[in-house]
Amino acid sequence: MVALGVACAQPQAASKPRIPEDAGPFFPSLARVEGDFDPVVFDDVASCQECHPDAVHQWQSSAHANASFGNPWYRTLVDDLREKQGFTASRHCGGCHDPLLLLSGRMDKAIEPGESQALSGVTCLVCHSVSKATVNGNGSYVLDTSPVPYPEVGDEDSIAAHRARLAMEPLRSPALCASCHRGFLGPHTGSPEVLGGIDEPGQWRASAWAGSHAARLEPEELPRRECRSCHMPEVEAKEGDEAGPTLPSHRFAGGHSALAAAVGDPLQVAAVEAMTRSAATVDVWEEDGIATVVIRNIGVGHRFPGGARDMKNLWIQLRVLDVRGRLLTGLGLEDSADSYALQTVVLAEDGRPELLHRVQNFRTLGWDHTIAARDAGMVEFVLPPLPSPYILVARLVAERHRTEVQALVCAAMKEPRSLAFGEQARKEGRRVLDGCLEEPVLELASAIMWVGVDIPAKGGAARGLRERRYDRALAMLHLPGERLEEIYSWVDNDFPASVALKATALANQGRLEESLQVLEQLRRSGASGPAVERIAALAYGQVWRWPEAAAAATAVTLGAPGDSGAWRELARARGSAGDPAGSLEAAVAGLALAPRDLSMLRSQALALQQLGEPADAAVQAWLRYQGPQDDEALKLACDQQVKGCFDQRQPVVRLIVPPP
Amino acid sequence: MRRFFLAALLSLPLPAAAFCGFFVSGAGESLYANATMVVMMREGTRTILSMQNNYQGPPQDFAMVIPVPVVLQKENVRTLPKEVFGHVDTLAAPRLVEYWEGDPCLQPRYDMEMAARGGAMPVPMSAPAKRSAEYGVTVEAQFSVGEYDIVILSAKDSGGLEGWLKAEKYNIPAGSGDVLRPYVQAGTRFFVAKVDVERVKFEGDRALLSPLRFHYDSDRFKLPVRLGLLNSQGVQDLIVHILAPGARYEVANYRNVSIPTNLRADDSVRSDFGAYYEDIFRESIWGHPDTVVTEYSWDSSSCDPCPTPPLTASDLLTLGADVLPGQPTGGMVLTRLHYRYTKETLGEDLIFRKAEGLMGGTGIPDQEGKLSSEPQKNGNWNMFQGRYVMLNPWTGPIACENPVRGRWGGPPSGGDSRPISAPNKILNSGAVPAMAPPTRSRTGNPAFPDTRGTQTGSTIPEAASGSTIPEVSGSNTGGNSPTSSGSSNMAGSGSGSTIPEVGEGSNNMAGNAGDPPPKSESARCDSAGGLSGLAMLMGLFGLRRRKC
Repeated sequence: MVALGVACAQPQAASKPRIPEDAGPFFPSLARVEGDFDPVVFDDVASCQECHPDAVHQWQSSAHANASFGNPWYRTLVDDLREKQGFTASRHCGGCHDPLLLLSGRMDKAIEPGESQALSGVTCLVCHSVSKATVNGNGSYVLDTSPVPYPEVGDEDSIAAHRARLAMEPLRSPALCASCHRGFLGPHTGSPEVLGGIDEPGQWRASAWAGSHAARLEPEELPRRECRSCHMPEVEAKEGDEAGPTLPSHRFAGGHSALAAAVGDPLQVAAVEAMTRSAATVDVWEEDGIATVVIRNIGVGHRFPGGARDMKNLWIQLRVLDVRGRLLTGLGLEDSADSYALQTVVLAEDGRPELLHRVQNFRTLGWDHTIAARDAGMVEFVLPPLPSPYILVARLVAERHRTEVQALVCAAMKEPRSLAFGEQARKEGRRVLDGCLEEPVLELASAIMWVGVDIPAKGGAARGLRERRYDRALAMLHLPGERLEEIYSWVDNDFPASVALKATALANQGRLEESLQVLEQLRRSGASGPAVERIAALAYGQVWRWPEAAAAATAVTLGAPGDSGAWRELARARGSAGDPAGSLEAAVAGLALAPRDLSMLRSQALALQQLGEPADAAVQAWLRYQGPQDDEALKLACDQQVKGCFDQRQPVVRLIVPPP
Repeated sequence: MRRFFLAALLSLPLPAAAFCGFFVSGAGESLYANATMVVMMREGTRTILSMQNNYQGPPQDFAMVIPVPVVLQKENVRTLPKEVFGHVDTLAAPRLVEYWEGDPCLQPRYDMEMAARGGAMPVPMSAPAKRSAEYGVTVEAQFSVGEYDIVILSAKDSGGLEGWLKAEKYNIPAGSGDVLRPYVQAGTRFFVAKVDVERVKFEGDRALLSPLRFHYDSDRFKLPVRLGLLNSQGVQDLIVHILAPGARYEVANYRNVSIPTNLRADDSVRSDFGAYYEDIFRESIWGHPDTVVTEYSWDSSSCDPCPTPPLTASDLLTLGADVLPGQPTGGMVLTRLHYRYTKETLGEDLIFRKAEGLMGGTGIPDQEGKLSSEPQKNGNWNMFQGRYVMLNPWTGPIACENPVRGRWGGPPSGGDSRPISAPNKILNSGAVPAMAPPTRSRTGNPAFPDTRGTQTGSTIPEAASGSTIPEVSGSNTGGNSPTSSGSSNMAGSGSGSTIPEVGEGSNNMAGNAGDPPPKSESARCDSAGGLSGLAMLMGLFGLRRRKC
């Protein structure tokens, strides 16, 4: 049992509050520069290529190299933002897509196709000159503009100086990635309230991949991995790169299959496909005329899919076949329109989904069907009456962009501006990226089962029963509260990871004693660590036993100090238990990881008030990041205007399969 | 997170002869002073919560504070006609029914008639329940609905709401700040409904405050109740009706039992069904203060017998179907849960879960007058009610060679008198609910008249003759799928379901179990102390005692 570690502390010296940084010379980008920035210097890739041909050639096919106005998807969308919200708003994008333009002040002006560095993207020297990076996001890095000492062959000192200048501490730190792969929107981009954007680093830090084992009791050992482990795997140097014989891949492969196809580099295409195909498993079950498809994120260290999730187009295709393999019925057969898509949908001011990633229209999150690292999701398909036996085929199908974005960008490709950018790319010897190119459609995972006849399943449905049942129970934790009861029949009592799910469900149901007993059973079986303590914290918190909840939450933070959620829960539990100093301490620690976390900003402000400390700045920060206050109204408007909106907003979506 | 939701009623403080809040009964009036009745409709993540407001003080003194998980908009809030609450209550409340034995010499035609009339023709009888910135708060929205002025507040500090309420001249109990703190930590908003006396309808001198309904979306289906405990005075009853498509509900984090049903009552019950039922209820929860009693689960569009017509499409729309997708007007199961609590026994929000269908309290007596009293779980099929049966054996002449006894049906006159719908004596008598044991033991207990006298061995089972209150799925959670590797070892599963004899188990009672009967009204006013002037709608102020 967790000892009561939180006393009703006497007020003590308060931790210094942590206020999110949202200012800077290039705000809304948080990028900064030390010294005088010369975009020409930073655009010099050729010098790098002399010694690092492998790295440069890999980079040239990457999303980093093609992040700028040569990228038709980016260009179309940033042009729209600049037109609607003004040039300054587009600094938000520029910090990570167009650092050379931003840092030379040119995001504040019209950008024509002939503009120097308008096609440069994120060049070698951008990443290799970052002297400081924070987890703030929106390009929260500082660029060192000091001259690059180029090495002399055989001169170790010069090589060392070169390395020292180009491989400063942030280069190998996740914080470098975090500075651009975490973002937030707000009044600066046209939304009245601050909205969270992408957050790959936060999600990764809370995962077992980062060595943080608070989210759940993992069913198997996982190696620690960080951004570079997956996105910059060590590859063979084939062109004599000085870094050889191997180097970290500079393809930065992720999920951008459309860009890889447009670049036309088969190796880039292969890298992206390999990455996406290792992301998830799919399983299918049938009970009482309902086909349940379970998707588990097994390989992605952040949410799956990641990036700008509102533009993603991954969906479940369910096909019902007769025993001869003829299609009887299904959903998602052609595209995602009638099925379940792993994406987010953001609502606009009128409650309708904003499907074109026009961030200035974003008001609140409608739904999020993406899956956290190592988590699982599920969708239920209500089958029509079918002649038995029959076959269920579930496939996870992926395109890079939702159909609406594809259409928008393709249309823009025909505009003179796009044609001119294409011409400019040709002049500069760059690849011309075609936004009308048919996007690759990849099958990432599948499962096949026969219903009504004893024939072995295939794919994800052919895995071991224990693994499958664990995935199912894991996904069922997302069921609405009144259905949590359904989990218990999927729990294997000899499998600690599975038993932990039972304890979690019990905790969520407010069944404290039962949850604690199951946790005790887990501990006796040897399970321990922050995941177990977190369930205890949840169980106590659910019934408002805050001191005990705080004690358990303290143990979680000790075991998973990189998980901002653990600090959030601790701050709240301590605050609720009447321990403002402890709450403040936890909130400040957590805000170092997640600077705009609303709950911790609130806990911080409340604690300062209770301690009698100056709290104005903290209160202002809390209110600034509290998000839209009318989100409930927007969701109701969506329900009323958009067919299927209510259904898609459910924690577990249920879809009706039409009759054959 | 949308975890915390609660409600409290507050009244403006009055000078000197302070109105004692909730517990005042008008002269000679019956009053179910401590009961709170809610009707919840649930589908997907949407919850529509309607509250019967039983506040009976001066309307200008009334205000209700409801912490809510989201900023409610005007379209989320409406008032309801009072009648709809009465309708739901009457339909779902325990009922007393009456059967008459048919002429033993008149055989076939009678049966055919019975069949044609849907089987049983009891004459039931049911028990309707009587029914700003300087304070660290921000007004998020403000609008009027019916006679209410609604303000949606967010608190910027733990004491903000407390300060605001005090500034608005509401009495709030000492210690509110501590209880409010977790809500503020969770980012809860506060819905404040005040009455505009200009818009109140009066019945005589009595203000008729409309029930309030509001809806919101949440992954969790729960009824937070903590805040109301702040000024909880003694024993209170909470009656929760849940309407949901195709499913019965029970409470995941409390012990569930179904009310003993199909018990035989004698004629004396007719005049005091409330007392009779009260005893059954007390016995059901005796020794287990954490018990929530299922009193009804039935398709809302039917009933048998019907103390009132079943719910209509219009009723369902009124109660929330209008804001559900597709505006369903059928297929809803009505569940009635009854929880009696004190400040000591109620500490946790009621967290609901779907439950297997339940059948019981149905059927017609067989030839020997027997009725099954055992509720059955039955997939998704719900036909359960608390039903108590009076039998009127044939008393006329028997002038045939082979009389057939035990054919039970409607009154010989052919009348169609309705059931007495749940005359919970508390509801009608003005009596105060108690956690006290049943008034008598099962032997000689007026609640179970068939256990005494000549009808021993009666063909209708004795009340709780097996001495076991049927648990409604209890706490067992570890059912196995066909492929499950093992049974669950869930703790606390359904143990202790035996009804103790009177006096038994008192050591197990938390808090007020076995307390002496409640004091008089004035005594309770006194006991309210500093809480006077604050009335709670649902008893939902939760006061958690800190450990340190």
